[in-house]
Amino acid sequence: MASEGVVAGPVLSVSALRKRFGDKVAVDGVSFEVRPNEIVGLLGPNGAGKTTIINTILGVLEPTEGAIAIEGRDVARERAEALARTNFAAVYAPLPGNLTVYQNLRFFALIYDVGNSAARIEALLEQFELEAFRDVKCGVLSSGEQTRVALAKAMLNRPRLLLLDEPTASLDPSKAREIRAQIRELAHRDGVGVLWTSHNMIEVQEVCDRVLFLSRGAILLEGDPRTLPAEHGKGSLEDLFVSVAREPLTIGAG
Amino acid sequence: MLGRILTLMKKEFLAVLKDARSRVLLVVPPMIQLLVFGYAATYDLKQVPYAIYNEDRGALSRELEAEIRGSGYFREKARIASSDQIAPLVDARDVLLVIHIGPQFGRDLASGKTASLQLIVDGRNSNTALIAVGYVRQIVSRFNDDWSQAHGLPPAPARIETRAWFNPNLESRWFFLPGLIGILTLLITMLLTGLTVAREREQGTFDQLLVTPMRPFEVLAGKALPGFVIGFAEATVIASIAVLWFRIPMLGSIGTFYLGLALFLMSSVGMGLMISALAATQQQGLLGAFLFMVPAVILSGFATPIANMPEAVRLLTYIDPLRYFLVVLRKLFLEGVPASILVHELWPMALIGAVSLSLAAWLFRARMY
Repeated sequence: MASEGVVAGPVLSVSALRKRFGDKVAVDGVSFEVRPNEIVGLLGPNGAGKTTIINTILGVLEPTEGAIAIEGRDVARERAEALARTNFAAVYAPLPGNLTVYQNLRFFALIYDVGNSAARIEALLEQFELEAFRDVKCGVLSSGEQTRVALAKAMLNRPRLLLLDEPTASLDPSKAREIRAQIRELAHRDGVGVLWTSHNMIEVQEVCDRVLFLSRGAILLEGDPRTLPAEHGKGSLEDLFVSVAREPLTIGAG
Repeated sequence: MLGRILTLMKKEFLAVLKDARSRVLLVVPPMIQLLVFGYAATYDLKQVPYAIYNEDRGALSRELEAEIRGSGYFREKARIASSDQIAPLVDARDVLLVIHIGPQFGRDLASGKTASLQLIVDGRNSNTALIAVGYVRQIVSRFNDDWSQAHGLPPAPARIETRAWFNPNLESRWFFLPGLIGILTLLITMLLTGLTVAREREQGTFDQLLVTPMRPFEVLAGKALPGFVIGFAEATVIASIAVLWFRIPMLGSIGTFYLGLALFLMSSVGMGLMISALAATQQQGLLGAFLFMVPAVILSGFATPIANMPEAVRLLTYIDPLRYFLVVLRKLFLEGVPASILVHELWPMALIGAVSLSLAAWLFRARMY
């Protein structure tokens, strides 16, 4: 499901990114781009550096070396402007549980300076089937419902770059399929660039236009998730993932 | 920028005021402490239990006994007939002191000699014991004056005429309650601000805030302002209760009170946010708040004079904002001094506030990146 080519500058540009924690190198010279209309999968075993890369893109961590630009805005120098064009949803970053769904969306709409926020919130409540939970505190929602609220919040500011860290991990298969379809539509209709991490290789194959396989903080492989396994003599993306996790040097050399 | 700060501030208020436990935390502990200090914490002794061991039994010694009984300070718990009975009474804490009038008391007085009186005091609570001894001294001094006057003797060559300024009846409550405004305000602001970031960090919701376009300064301001507003409100309520309910005189200007309060809140909110920026969990935040609170109260001079502290400890008191605010409060309430006299208390609080808020901002930034 590769997108139709839309020629434009990248929404995300990561150049020679390096992040060190003391003596440990978590990210080692990573460079990649995410273009408009494109969903890029960031894959790799636990500890490969995915979350470090996402946190560096979001300005939570400062890179040791390298540069990150969102729609041409350097995250280090123009953090607020860059992040105003970005949004994020992750299972490990819930919304404040003591506020209702509406209060949370309203709060983030004001923080992101969303114009006509009331209409935008209503549209997202409808899109993610959250109308019934409008006045329910987020803390008492099921994990699947919380994920939908987090995704609605991630869409509030019509981001140019969307970072999704395992966005469907808590959803049932039916809802997960709906959400994947919505995000795909959003990316390809509105020209949004999406960086998606997941351990569900079937999902990645269905959603992503391109994948980056990370191992030990470096990009080992890059390509179309539908053709990449065969190029490396593997039957499926999951087989390729397992090989990358177990024998990164063999795969990298091949 | 201002819009984002106000939005975060509103969210913080919602988080605090919509949560029943937070509402209770804001109201109940300060009120309990105010009532406890208002009614129970006092250096004034009343009804001190004592035993009398009168070996004289003459009219003069009975007259002295009557003076002691009628003073209102003491409550006679036992009359004893031999010295063997003293130790069991004191050991069992049945009495705080034993007044021993020797067999020669009346005769010595009548013959113009000095008559001795022995006090046996339970020194395990030295503070209370000293106060009780002071009361006995006052009674005996009055007894001496009356005796001299009745027998045409010259008065004692030197005598003390005590006039207590600012607190004519030397009521402990007048001393404690103004200081309590500072302590309770510190308690509330430290608890609020010390936990504000730690709570969100523990719940994972702080990540959502960090990845917004908000700058570290805006996050800091949005987190600090509710502490200021709630601190102002709490201090106003506590001061009003002190004045209207406990009848503590407020002789100074309200403007100076709020100026001192604003500078004190700057420093306490700054300290709270520093703790919050360092703490990864609410437990760490709470522990940090109490690790600051306890020494801050001890070093403030609330209960013990700073002048009595060792030199090294006394130097530490200079970085305690409560030390300065207590002086401001006591001078404002009891002396009614103007702001110009309090400059040396006001500028250190402003300095501590500026430094602690700057450090909190730096820590926020360091933890953000």
